[in-house]
Amino acid sequence: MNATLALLRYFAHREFRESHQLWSLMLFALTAVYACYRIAAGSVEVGAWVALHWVVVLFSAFNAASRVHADDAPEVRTWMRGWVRPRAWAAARSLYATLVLGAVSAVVFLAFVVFLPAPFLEGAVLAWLAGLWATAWALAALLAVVSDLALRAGGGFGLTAVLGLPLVVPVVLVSTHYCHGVAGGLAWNGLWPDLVFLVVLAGVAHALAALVFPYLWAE
Amino acid sequence: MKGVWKPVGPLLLLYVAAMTAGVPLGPGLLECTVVDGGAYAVRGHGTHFADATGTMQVFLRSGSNVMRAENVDVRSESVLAFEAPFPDTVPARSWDVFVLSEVDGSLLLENAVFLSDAVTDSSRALPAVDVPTLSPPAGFHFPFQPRVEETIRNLMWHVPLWFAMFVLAGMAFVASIRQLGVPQVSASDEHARAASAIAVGLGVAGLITGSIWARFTWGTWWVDDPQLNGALVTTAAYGGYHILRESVDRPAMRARLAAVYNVFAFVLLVILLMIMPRFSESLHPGKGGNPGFNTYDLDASLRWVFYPAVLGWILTALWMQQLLLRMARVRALDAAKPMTPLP
Repeated sequence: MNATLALLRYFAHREFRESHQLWSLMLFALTAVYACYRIAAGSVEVGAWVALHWVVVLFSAFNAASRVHADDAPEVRTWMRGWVRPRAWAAARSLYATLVLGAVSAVVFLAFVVFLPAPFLEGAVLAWLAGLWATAWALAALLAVVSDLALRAGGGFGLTAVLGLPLVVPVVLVSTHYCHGVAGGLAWNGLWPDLVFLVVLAGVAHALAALVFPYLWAE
Repeated sequence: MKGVWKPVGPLLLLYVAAMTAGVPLGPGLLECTVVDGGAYAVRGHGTHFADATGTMQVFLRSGSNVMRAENVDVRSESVLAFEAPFPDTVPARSWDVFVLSEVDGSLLLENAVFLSDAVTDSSRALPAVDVPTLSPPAGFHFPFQPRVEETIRNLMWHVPLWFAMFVLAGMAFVASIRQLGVPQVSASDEHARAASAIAVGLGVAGLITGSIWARFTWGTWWVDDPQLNGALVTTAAYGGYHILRESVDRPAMRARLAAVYNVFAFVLLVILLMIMPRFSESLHPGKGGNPGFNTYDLDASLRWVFYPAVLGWILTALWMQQLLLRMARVRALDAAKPMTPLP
């Protein structure tokens, strides 16, 4: 636990050292939302709003996952293997990816609400955000492993997308179903099974990541 | 004796092909239309109305109300006309039609007649009518199902392909787990590669046969159905597995990375094809609350062909995997040979 927390602090420091990466991520997300606003000419139907929102979140997630940091270099990794336990690294990496993606998703949501008003979300913002963050949690766990896999294979964003897109489909299917329910004014009784399913998917993804990550970590 | 099981799969598939093409479809009713003078005509498929002329009986049923049709007139082997003596006030507007024939047995067409202009009174009860029970038609035939009709033969190809795909994907999963247990490249890596290559082929064949079946029964090549989407995405994931393998040059690293991805791909298969369709609306039989084929369609005649088809596809797929393994070994041996200098 201490190792995971120490690594989380290390990742946060690294983020500040390489802050251009986070800003470029945010800029991409905001530009994508603005492009949606221009294409939709200011107003879209509920279904299109949900679809556009999820497309931008998904692309932002892949962008976030395929960032390459200085410590991803093979020689740094070789040095790190000497003092970091792989499960602690996997847990910290997934948690940190969850935090980053949660923040990016929130920014995307805010930008969408500003540019493309969503009156159908009145009174349901918390339910929407709950779904958004549960999805971010599941996506982050899956994409953290996939991006590491692609990195070890010598591939970049392309390989992460090829390998990751099929794997994230269950999460996307459940979360879009949940969000259509929220946007359609469905009561909490009808929403919670999807939210629980999302959390279960996220849990499964984290458990799998913890199980297989040591094999990716090993030289 | 070691490889004696290998020809069993193809032989079973030959039997399945012969049965699929040769066994006739049982009789059934396709539609009921209003014809001249307010009479109705039912059109059958594989029926023998003319052979049972004079003994044909037609009944209309709505809930517990049953009514005998009058003036039954056999017009051909597959067309039968009748008049329905509906009273001024009926208990319901939608009526099923039963055709009782000594040759074809008891045939049912649900919601065959709809009285759009009728006055309804749900408390109205019609006088009771005795409906005789007839034994089903003799002879070996596949069951008739409305809308599915002759395409029920595809059951022997489409569904067993997926069964075989699951088996091969499971084998690849086990082989990948074994590979993860050792630091160097082991035979398990090649087993996983071969099994997942066959699984991709079976998945593509399953998608094609499913798409063809959807065109005939649902009217379109592709529908937004969780089972279809899951099948496509799973096949894509196994395709990704092979792309990943091609991306890595170092054999030990390739074996490890591919094994890790294969674990995720198999979990995805379980979630997308076995769990999610059961919790969402689906057109597929047995999913989303729809009755499965085994509820009423998979009768004795289908079982005689369906189970051999499942076994045949699994055995054939296993044989194909063995062939791929053998090809890989031959290639490895060939690559290890010293190059012959040019003369």
